[in-house]
Amino acid sequence: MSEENKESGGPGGSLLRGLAGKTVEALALKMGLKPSDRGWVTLDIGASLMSASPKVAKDFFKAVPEVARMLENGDLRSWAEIGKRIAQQNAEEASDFFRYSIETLELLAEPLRRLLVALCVKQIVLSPAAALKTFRQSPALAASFGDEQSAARIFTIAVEVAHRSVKHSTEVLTAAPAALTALREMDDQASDAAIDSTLTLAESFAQRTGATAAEFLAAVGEGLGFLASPEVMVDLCRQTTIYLERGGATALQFFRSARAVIEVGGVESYRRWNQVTDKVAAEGNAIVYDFLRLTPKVLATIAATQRRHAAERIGAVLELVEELSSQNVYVALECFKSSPRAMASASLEQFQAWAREGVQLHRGDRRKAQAYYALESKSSQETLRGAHDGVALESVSHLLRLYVEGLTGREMAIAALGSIPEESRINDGHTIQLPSVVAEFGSPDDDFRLYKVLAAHAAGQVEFGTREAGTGSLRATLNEIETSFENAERRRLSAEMRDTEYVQYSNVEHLGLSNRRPLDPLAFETADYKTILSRFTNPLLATRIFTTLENGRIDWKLRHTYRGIRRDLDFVRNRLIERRPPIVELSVEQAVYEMLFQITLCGGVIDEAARRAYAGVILDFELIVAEYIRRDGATVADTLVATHRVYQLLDGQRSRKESDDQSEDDRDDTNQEQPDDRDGKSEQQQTSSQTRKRSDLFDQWSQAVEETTPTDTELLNELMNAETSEQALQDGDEVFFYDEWDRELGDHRAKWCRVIQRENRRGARDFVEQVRTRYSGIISSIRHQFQMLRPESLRRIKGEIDGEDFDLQAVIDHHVDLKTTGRPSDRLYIRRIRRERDVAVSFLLDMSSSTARTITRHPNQPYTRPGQKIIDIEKQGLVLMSEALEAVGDSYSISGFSSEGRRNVKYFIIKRFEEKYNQEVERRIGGITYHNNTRLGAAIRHAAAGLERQDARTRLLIVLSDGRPYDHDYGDSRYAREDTRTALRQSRIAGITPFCITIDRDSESELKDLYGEVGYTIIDDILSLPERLPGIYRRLTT
Amino acid sequence: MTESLNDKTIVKAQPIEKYVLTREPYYLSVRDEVSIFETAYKARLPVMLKGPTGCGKTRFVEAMAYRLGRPLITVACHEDLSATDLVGRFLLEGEETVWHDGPLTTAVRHGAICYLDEVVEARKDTIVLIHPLTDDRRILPVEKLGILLNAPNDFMLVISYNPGYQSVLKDLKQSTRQRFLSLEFDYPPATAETNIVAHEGGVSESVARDLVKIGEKVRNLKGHGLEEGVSTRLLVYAAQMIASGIEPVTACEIAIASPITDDLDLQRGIREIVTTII
Repeated sequence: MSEENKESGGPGGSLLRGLAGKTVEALALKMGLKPSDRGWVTLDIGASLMSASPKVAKDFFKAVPEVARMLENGDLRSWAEIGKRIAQQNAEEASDFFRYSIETLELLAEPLRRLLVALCVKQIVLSPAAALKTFRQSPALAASFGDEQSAARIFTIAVEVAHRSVKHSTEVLTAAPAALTALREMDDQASDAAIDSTLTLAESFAQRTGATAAEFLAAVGEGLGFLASPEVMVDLCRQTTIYLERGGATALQFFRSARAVIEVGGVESYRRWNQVTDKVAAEGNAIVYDFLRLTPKVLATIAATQRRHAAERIGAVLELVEELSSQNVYVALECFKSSPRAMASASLEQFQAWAREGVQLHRGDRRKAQAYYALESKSSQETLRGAHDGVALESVSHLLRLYVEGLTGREMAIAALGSIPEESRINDGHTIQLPSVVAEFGSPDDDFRLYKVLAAHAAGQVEFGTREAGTGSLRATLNEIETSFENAERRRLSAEMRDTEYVQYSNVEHLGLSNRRPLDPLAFETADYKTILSRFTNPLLATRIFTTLENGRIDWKLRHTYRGIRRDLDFVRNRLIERRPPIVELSVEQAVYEMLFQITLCGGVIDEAARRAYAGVILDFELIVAEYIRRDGATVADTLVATHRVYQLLDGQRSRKESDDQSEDDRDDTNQEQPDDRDGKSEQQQTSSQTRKRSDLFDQWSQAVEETTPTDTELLNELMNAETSEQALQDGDEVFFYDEWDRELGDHRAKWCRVIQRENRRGARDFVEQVRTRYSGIISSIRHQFQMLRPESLRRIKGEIDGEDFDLQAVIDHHVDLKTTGRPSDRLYIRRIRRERDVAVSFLLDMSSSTARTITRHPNQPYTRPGQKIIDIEKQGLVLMSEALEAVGDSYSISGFSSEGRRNVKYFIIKRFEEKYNQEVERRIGGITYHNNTRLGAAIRHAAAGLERQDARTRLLIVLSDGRPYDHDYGDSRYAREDTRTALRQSRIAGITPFCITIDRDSESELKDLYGEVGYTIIDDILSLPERLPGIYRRLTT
Repeated sequence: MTESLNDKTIVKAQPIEKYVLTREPYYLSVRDEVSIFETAYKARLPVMLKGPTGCGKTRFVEAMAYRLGRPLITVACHEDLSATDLVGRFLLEGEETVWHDGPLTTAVRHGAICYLDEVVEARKDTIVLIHPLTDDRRILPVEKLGILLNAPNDFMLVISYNPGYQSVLKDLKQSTRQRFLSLEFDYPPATAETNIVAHEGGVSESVARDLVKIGEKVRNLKGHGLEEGVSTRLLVYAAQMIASGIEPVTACEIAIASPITDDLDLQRGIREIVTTII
C-alpha cells in the first residue's frame, strides 16, 4: 500500500516516494539530522503518515512550517504524534486535525499551546476522540477561563489529571468555566484570592488523586452565591486542603458538606461544624467520612421540617454537637443523626434539654448513650418530649366521637388514617379519619387541639353539606360546568376538522368524535360534588382544587359559626404557616397550588416575595375565594363554581404554555386529553412525593381526594428507622405498639414491637363438632362440674341493720331482750344481695411453627394410628375449655399469636370478651393454624392490655405455650426471657394473674423463674391436655 | 276555715290564697299549646304534659294558671308519696283529732289547678287515686272522712311525665295514660330558646345564642352517652352565672357539663363543644 503515494506534494514527498518507514531514519542520518531536530521529526512522522494516507501526509506537511513556529521541538513532535494516532483511526479526522491546528494554536497564548499538546498527548492514548475534542475546543475554553494565568493553571491541572484519568481531565476542562464564573460572581475585588485558592486546591487534588479535581471544580461550579464573601471560600479551600491529607474523597466530601452547611446554616454554623469535624477527624478516617457524608442529609432534613427556623435550629444543633463532641465523638455523632427526628417532635428548648440530659445520664457508657441519642430508649423519648410522646388517637377517639356527634348530631365513627380503605379525603359522612398519633406540639393539650381542629373540620363537612346531593344549586352548577366543557369540546372538534392535514392523517373513526361521555340523567338528578368533579376534562386537577377550596369554605364556616374554635383554628394555622414551603422555591405549577392553599387556608399568601412575583394570580384567586367561598350561605355548589373558575385559570395558563411548547409541531397530539391527563398525574405524583417528604399532618387539607397518602404506620416506620420490614396490613387489622425490655440497655425500647390484631381465619366448623362428638362424655361431666361453680344469683343474709324484711327470729329476740336486759340488738333485718363469680380470663395460644410438631402414642404405627399436631391438641383443649366456661359463665377471650420480627407480631382474635360462643367463634377455632415465631413479651403485653379493660375482680391470663420464646430479632434467649419477665411483671402490677400451661418439660426451671412457683403447669402428656385444661382452670379459679 | 263534719271530727281545710299567683310568670309560647290548654280547661279535661326535664312544663302550667285566674297547687311526686299525703290525714292536736286536707283535696274543694309533677315517681297505688277525678265523674272519694267530693268546674288536674326515662319500672300504666289529653313538650326552637335564655338569664342576645347553640350540640349527644340533653333550665342557669360575672366557659362547665353527666369523657366532650362555640 505504501507504493500508491502518488499525490504527496509535501517538501519531502518526492524524496520519500518508494521508501519504507525504516529507511527514513537512515536517510535522515545521512542528511545529518539529529533525531531531536525538527526536520527529523517532520520526516519521520511524515513518512509514517505517508504510509497510512498520502492526503494526511500532505496536510501534515502543509501545517508543519506554521506549527513548528509555534511549538518547541518536543511539543512539535508530540503534536505530530497526536495527528499520527488519529490517522491510525480515521484518516479524515487526522487531515482535519492538521488543517485546524494552525488556527487553533494561534488562538492560544504561548504557554497554553504547550499544555494543550501535553494534554492531548495523554488523552490520545485512551481516546483519540476525546483528544480531538479537547484540541478543537481549547481556544473557546481558554477564552472562557478569562485570564491567561488561570487558563494555564487549569490546563496544567487537566494535564496532571490526565496522568491518571483521561475522562476526568476532560471533565476538569468542562467544569472549570462554571467554577470560575461562580467565583468571579462573588465579588469583583476579592475574587482573585478566591480563584487562586480554588485553583491551588484543585491542583492539590489533581496531584493527589486526579479524578477528584474534576469533581471539586464541578462542585464549585454549582454556585457559590450563598457564600458571604470570597474570604470564606479562601478559608474553605484552606480547610479542604488539610483534609486532603486524608484522601481525595474525604476532602471532596468535606468541601461538599461544608458548602451545604454554609448554604443552610450560614458561616457561623460552618465554623462550628468545622470544629466538630476536626474533633471527629481525630478519631479516624472512616468516622470522619461518615460524618461528612451524613451532614448534608441531616441538615437538609432539618431545613425541610423546620423551614422558617432552619438556620437557627441548625446553629443550635451544631452547638450541641460541638459540646458533646468534646466529651465523646461517637455519642455526639449519634445525637447529630437523631437531631432531625428529635427536632421534628420537640421544641428547641426540649431538644437542648434532651441532648444535655443524655450526657448527664450516660457519662462513660457509650452504648447506652448511643441508644439514648438514637432515640431508642424510652427514657430518652420521654426526656425529649417531657414524658409526652404524643396523643394517641385511641386515647381520645371516644372523646372525639362525642365531640363530632355533638357538633353534627349524627352517628359518626372515628378511624385511624390508613386503617380503613383510603376512599377519600372528604369524609364519607359517617367515618372521620384522623392520624393515629399526633405528636406535633410537645404537649398533650396542644396535640389534642390539633385533633380537635381536624375533627371539627370533618364535622364541618357534614354540617355544612359537603356531601349534599341533588340540590337545585348543585344541578345548576353541574349544568353550567357541563355546558362550558361541552362548548370547549365542540370548539376543539371543529378546530380539528378545519385542520386538513390532521383530518387526512387521523383514523376516520376518531374524527369528529367527542371525548366526553354523555351525562347519565339519573346522575344529574342526584348530582353531588363527585359527579360534578368527574365531568371536568381533568378530574384530578379539579379534585385537587376542589379539596383545597372546600376545606377553605369549611374553615370559614367554622370560624363564623363557632366563635370558640377560632382560637384552635388560629393556633393550628400558625403551625401550618410555619410549615408551608417558601413559594419562591417551588416550580411555577406547585407555586400556584401552594398559593391557592395559602389564600384559602392560611389567610393569604405568606411570602412577601411571592406576593410581588405572582400578584396577578393572587388577585384572581383572592377574588374567587372572596366571591364564592367566604360568604354567608356558600354551599358546596359555590365551591364547585369556584373550582371551575380556578380550573379555567390554571387550564388557560397550562394550555397557553403547552401551545408555546408545541408551536413548532402541534399536530402530533391526536388526542388533546391524553397529554393533559398525563400532566395531571405526573404533577400529582410530584407533589405527593414532595408533600410526603414533609410528612405533613395537614396534607389532608390540600391533597386531592383520591390520592393515597402514606399510612401513619409507614410514617412511623420511617420514624422508627425500622430494620425489620413491616408487612402490609389487611382490612380490619388494628395496630398497636408496645415497648420491649432491653436487658443490656436496662430500659425499655419504646414502641419497639408492632402488634397487629386480626381476626383469626375462619376454618371449618366441623372441627368443633368433631371434638364435641369425640369428647361428648367428658364435655357433659365438665359442664356439670362447672355449673356447680356458678353461684346462686341471690343470697339472703340475716341479721342485717337494714333490709327488705324482718328477720322474725331477730324480732323475737329483740322483744325478749327488751323485757329482760333492756339492751336489744338492732340487727332485725334480712337482706338479699347479689353475688357473682367475678372472673375474666384470657387464653393466649402460642401459634408458632413449632406447634406443627406431631405427637403420637404409637410412634411405630405412623399410618394406622397417626399422631396429632400440638396445635390441634391445643385446639381441642380450647373447645373443651369453652364448654366449661360457658357453663360457669365466666367472661373469657381466646387469642393466638405468632411473630415475624418485631414489627410483625400478629395477634389473632379467636373470641373476644364481649362475643358469644357462637358459630363464628367455632369457625375461628377451626381455623387456628401454626405460623412463625414466638415473641412472647409483646403478645403478653397486648393480652394484658385487653384484660385490663375488663372490670372483674379476678383477671387471669393463661398462656398456652410449647416452648421458649423465640423470634429472629428477639435477641438471645436471655434477652427474650428478660423481656417476657418484664411483661409478666407489668401485668401482675396491673392486677392480672398470669399462668402458663406448657408441654416443654425441659423448661421447668425457666418457668419457675418467670411465672413463680405456682404460676405454671407442665403437662407431661400433651395428648391429655384437652381433658386436663378445664380441671386446671377450675383449680385456678376456686 | 274550720268546719265540723260530724260531732267528733274537726276538719281543717287549707287556705287557698297562698296558691294564687300574683305575678305573671314569664312564658314564651312555642306553638298552640296555650289555646289547647284553655280549650281543655273549658272542656274540663285533664291534661298530661310530656317532655324532657327542664323544658318548661312547670313554667307552662304556672303561666296557664295565672292566665285562667286559678290558684295552682303543685305536688312534686316521689316514691313515698302515699294516698294519704295527697288526700289528707288526721293529726293529733292536743286531745283532738284534726283532719287536714291534702293538696289534692284542697284543689278539689277550691276549684284550683292541681299539678302532679313527675307523676311516674309516685307509687302505683297513689296514682290510682286520681282515676275517679279524671273521668266524667270528677269526684274525689275521701275514704277516711267517708265522703265524696265533687270537683267544681274550675278544678283541673294536670300531670307531667318525662318519657325519657327508659326504665320499665318508670312507665305510666295505660289505665292512667288514657285518661289524659297529652301535650308534647320539647326544648324550644333556637330562636325562642334564645329569647328565653336572654330574658331569664339576664344576658345579651349574643351570649344567649351561644348558649342555645351549645345546648343544641349537647342535645345531639343524647343517646350517644347522654341520657338526656341539657335542659333549657340549665342553659338559663348558665346564663345567670355569666350575667353575675362568672367566666363563660366556667359557667358552662358548672351549669352544663358537670350537672348532666358524671362520665368524664362526656364532660370533656361537652367542654370541647363549649370551647368550640365560645
